[in-house]
Amino acid sequence: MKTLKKIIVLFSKRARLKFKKDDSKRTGFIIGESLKQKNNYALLNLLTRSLIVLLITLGTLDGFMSAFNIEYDMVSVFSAIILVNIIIMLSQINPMLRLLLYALIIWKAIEYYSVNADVMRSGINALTNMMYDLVRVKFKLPEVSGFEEIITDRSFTVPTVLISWGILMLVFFWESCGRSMNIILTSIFSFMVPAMGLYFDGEPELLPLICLTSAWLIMASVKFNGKQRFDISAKKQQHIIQWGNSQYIGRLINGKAFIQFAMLIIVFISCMAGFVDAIITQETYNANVPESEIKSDTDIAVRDLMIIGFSKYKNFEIKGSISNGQLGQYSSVSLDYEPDLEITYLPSTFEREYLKTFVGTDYSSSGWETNAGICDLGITNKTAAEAKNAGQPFNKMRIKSVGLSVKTPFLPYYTDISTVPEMKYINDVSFEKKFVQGDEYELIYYREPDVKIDDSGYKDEIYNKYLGVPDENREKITQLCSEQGWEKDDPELEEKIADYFEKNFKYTLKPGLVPWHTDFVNYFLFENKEGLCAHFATAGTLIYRCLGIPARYVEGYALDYPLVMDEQKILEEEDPQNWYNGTSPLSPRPVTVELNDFSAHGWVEIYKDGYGWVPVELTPGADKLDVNDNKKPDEKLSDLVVDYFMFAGKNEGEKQEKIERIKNDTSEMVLYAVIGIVCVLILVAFLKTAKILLKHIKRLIVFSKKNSDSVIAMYGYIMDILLYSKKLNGISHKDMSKALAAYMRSPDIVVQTVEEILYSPEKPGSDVCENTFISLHGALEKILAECGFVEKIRILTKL
Amino acid sequence: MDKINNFIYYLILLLLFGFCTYFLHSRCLLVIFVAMVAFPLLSYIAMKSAANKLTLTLSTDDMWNEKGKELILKLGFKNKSLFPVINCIVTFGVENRFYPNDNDNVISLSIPAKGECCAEIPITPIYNGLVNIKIEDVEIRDYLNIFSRKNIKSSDYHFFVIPNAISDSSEIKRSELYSEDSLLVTKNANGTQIDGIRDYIIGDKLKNIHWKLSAKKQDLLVKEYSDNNEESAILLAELYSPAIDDIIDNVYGMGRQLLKEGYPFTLAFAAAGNEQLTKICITEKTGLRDSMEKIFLAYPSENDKASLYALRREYAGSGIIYIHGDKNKAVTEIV
Repeated sequence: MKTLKKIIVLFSKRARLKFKKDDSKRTGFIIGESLKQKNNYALLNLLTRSLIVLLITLGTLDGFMSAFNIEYDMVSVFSAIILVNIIIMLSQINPMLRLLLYALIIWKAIEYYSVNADVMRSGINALTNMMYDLVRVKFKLPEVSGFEEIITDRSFTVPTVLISWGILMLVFFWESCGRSMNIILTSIFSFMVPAMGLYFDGEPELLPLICLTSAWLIMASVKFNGKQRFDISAKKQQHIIQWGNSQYIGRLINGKAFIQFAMLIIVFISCMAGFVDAIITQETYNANVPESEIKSDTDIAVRDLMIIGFSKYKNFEIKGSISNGQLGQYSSVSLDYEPDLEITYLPSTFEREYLKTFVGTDYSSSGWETNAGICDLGITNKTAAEAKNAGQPFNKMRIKSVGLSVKTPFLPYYTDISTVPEMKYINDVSFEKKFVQGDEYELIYYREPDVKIDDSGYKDEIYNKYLGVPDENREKITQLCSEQGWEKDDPELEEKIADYFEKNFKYTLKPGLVPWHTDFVNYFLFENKEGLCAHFATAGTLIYRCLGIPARYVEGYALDYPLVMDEQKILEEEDPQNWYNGTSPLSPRPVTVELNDFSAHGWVEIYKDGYGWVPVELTPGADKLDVNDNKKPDEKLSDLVVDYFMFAGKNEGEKQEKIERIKNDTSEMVLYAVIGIVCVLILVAFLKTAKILLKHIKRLIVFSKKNSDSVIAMYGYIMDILLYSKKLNGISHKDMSKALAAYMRSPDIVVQTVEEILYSPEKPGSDVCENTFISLHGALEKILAECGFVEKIRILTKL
Repeated sequence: MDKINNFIYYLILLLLFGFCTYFLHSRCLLVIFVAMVAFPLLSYIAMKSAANKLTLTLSTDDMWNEKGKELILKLGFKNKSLFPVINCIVTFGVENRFYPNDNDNVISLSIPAKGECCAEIPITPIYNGLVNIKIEDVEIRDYLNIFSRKNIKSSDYHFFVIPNAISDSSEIKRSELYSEDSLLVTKNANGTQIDGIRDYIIGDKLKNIHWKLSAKKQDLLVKEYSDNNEESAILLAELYSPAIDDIIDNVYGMGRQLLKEGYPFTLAFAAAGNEQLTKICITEKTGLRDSMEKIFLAYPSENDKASLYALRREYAGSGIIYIHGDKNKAVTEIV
C-alpha cells in the first residue's frame, strides 16, 4: 500500500513536491534542489552533438550519392553543410535563437526555390535521371529521355540541390538526434536514403556508412545510459526523480568524456570496418552469400511498380519510332508526331512499302539482337542485281533523316546497294556508317522483282541461323501451330496467321508490362493477347521459325499510299522518269512526304527459297489505315495542366497558348460546377420545404380534432409565434395571459383551461376544449393578421 | 531491468540491420554489421578496464556548515584507464546521526579517460548534527548499458551542521542575565574578579585596558583578573527529547548570546554511557563550536533530571539555565 501510494504520488506534481518536502523533514536534507550545472563542458557537449549531426547528415548524403554512383562536387557541398552546421550549433545556446534560425533557413529555402526554380528543378531532375540510370541497369529497363533539365550544367545544379537538401536534413537531425537523441527516428530516416541505392544493387562507399554507424552507436549509447542529461540549457538543470527511497540526480554529460567516447566509437568502427572490408572481398562475398530470396520476390513487384509509376509520367513513357529490338520493358508507347524521315519518291503501288533498318536475328525474352556476320549482303543484293539484269522497272528514293539517328540506314526492299556507295555494308543487316540526323542519300530499288535467284551458297546458313526458337517458346508455339492447323507448305499460311491475330488479339499502344521473368512472346500469345506491331511481329517470327520457315524480326518505317497522298508535297520540277521507269505511276510527279512515329513499324521477314527475304505483315488493322490517326490528337486538360507545370518558362508562346486552353476548359468546368451547385441548392430547398409542409400538415391534423391536444398544440404554436415576434415577455402562463389579452376578451379563462388540461387530474370537457380552441384560433388569426408578409413567411418556415 | 531492456533494444537493432544486410545483399552493410556486432565487446572491455582504475573522493568546502544553508558536496572521480566512462552510477546515503534514514541518492557520472570528474551536489541540511555521507555503491556501466561492474573502493565522509548564526532562539532576555535575583553571573566581566591594576604590556588584550584610570594617569593601565568559575553561568542541556534540534538551537543561541555579552559559561549535558555529566567550560566562540561537536557525537541519555539535581547541589547559589524539551519544542528556563 505504501509503495502504491508512492507510485501514485510520483504521478502528481503537487503531491510529488509535498512528498519531497515531507521526506526531507524525515531525512533532514534537501538534496540537489538547486542543482546547477557548471557549463564547463557545455561547448564540448555542443561540439560533440554537432559532430553526431554532421556525421549523420554527411553520411546520409554521401551514402545516397555513392550508392547511386553519382559524382558531385563533394568539397563545395560538405563545406557549405559544415558551415551551416556550425551556425545551427551556435544557435542551440538560446532556444529562441534556434527557432528564429530554423524559420530563417526554411524561409530562405522557399525563397531560393521560388527565385531559382529552374536551377532547383533541373538539379532534382538531374538527380532523378541519374538515379534512374541505376534502376534501369538493375531492372534492364529501356533508356528513356528522363526529366527535362532546363539548366544542363549538372556541376552547378546538383550541388545546389544537395546543399539545400543537406541544410534541411541538418535542421531535421538537429531536432531528432542533436537534441533528443531519438535513435529510432534518426536511424530510420538516415538509413532509408542510402538504402534506396542499395536496393538497386548500388554499392555505397564504406566511409559514409562508417559515419552513419558511428553516429547511431553514439546515440544509442547516450540513449541507453539515459540517466545522463543531454540538455545543454544549463539554467534549468533540476532533473531529480524520486522513486521509492531513492532519489535520482540527473546531470549534464561530461563534455570531455563525451567527445572521447565519440572519437573512440568512430575509431573502433573505422578499424573494424576496415579490417572486415579487407577480409571479405566482393568476390568472397558473392561466392559465399546467396542473394536474398525475399528480395528477388520483391524485385518483381518493385520493378513493375516502378515502371507503372514511371510510365505515368509522359517523359518516362517509351517513345515511338525505332526501339532496336527492345521488347516488353515499357507499359505504353507514346507518339510525338514530330517528323523523323523525309522521303522523296514516286508512288507506284497501293501496297505498303517498307523501309527497314533494324533486323533482329536472335530472340530472347528481353528483345531481339542482331548477330552480324552470319551472312553477307549478297542474298539481298542478288535479287536487285537479277532484277536489274532483267530490266525490270526501278524506283528511286531519296531518304533524309530530319529527327532520327539509327545504327543502320533505312533501305527499301531489293535496294541496289551499288547505288549508295557511301553506305558501306558489313553484311545484310549491318552497315559501317550510321544514319544520323541530317544525313541524306538516294538509292535505286526494285519494288516487286519478278526474278528467281540462286541461293545455294547461302541457303544452308540461313536455315541454320534463322530457325532458332528458345525451348520455352518452341513447345507452346508448336502446340498452337498444330491446334490451328498451320503448316509450312500451306500457301495461305500468312493469311491464316494474320487472321488468327485479327480475331483473337487486340492492337494497342498500351499493352501493359510483361511480368518479370515471364517470356515476352508466351505472355503475349497465351495470356495478354494485346500488343503493338513489335508484339505481333515477334510472335509471328517465332511461329514461322517453329514451322521451319526462316524468319527475322524487322523494324523500320512503313510507307502507306493513303498517308503519302494525304501529306504529300509534289515536286513539280522533277522529271518522273528519273524516279520511276515503270508503267503504273500513281503520281504524275515525285512527292516528298514526312514520316513520323505513327509510321514506325515492326514486321516479319521470311525467307522464300529462290526468292530471298520477303516482308510479311501480321499486325491487325494494317490494311484499315485511317489517315487522321497520323495527326496529333487534341491534348486533354490533365495533360495541359501537367505540361504547364512541367515546362513552365520553357516557351512563352506555347505556355500562353496552353494557359488560354486551360482557361477555356476551366470556364466550362466552372459552368458545370455552377449548374451542379444550383441543382444541389434546389434539392436542399425542396427537402426543406417538404419538411416544413409535413410539419404544418401534422399540426393541421392535430388542430382539426379540436380536443385537448388541439388546444395544447394551438396554445404552444401561439406561444412560439409571440416569442418569435417578441410580443411575449417570459414564458409563464401569467405572461401568456397578458400577451393574449390583446387578441381575445377572456384570456384568463383560456389560460386556466390550458392549465387544467396540463396539470389537473380532472380534464375539462370536450365542449370547453372546443370553445377554448376556437378562441385561440381567433387569436392566432389576429396575430397573423398583424404580421407582415415577410414575417408570416418567416413564421411559417421557422415554426 | 534497464540492462535487459537495453539488451533487447540493441538486439532488435542488430536483427533489423542484419535483416537489411541480408535483404539488400550488400557487402558494405555486412562489414558495418560485423562492426556493430563487435561493438558490445569493446564496450565490455572498456567498462572492465575503467572499473579497475577508478578512484573516488568525497569532500565539502567546510567541515562546519550552518543549518538551512546550502553546502556543496563534491563527488570526485579519477579515471586512470584509457577508456572514458559514460555512465558511472554512484549510490550514496546522506544521514544525520540524530535522524537515521535509509534513503539513497543516485547520481550518474561520466568520467573522461585519463582524467577527472567532479559532481557538485547541493545539499541543504535542515537539522543540526553530525552528517555522514556514505558511498553505498559505485557501478560502472558499459556504453550500451548492458553490462555493469561494481567498484568496491567506496569511502565515507562526515561534516557538522550547526545552528544558523543569525538565529537566536533563546528565551532568556538580556535583562534577565543581569537580574540581581537570578544571580546567573557575577557582575565582573568574563565571570572573573579584578585582582589588580598594572602597566600595559604589548600583547595585552585591548578590552582589559582600564580606560578611565589610564585617562587620569595619562598612561595605559590594564586590569588583572583572577578566575572565578564558581560564579560563571551554567547551561544545562537535556538532549533526550524529540525536540533535540530545537534544544541544540537554543543551546547554541544562548551560548552565543552569553559569549557576545562577554560571559563565559559551562555547558553541561548527559551522554549515554557516562554516569557523570559532560561539562565543558566555554570562553569563546570556537569553544562553543567544539562543544557542539561533542553534543553531536554524544548519544543523548535519559538521566538528565538526576544530573540536574546533582548539578544544582554542586552549583548551589548559582542560577542554572536549563534547556529541555517539552513535547516537540525546546524550553529554556532558569532553575
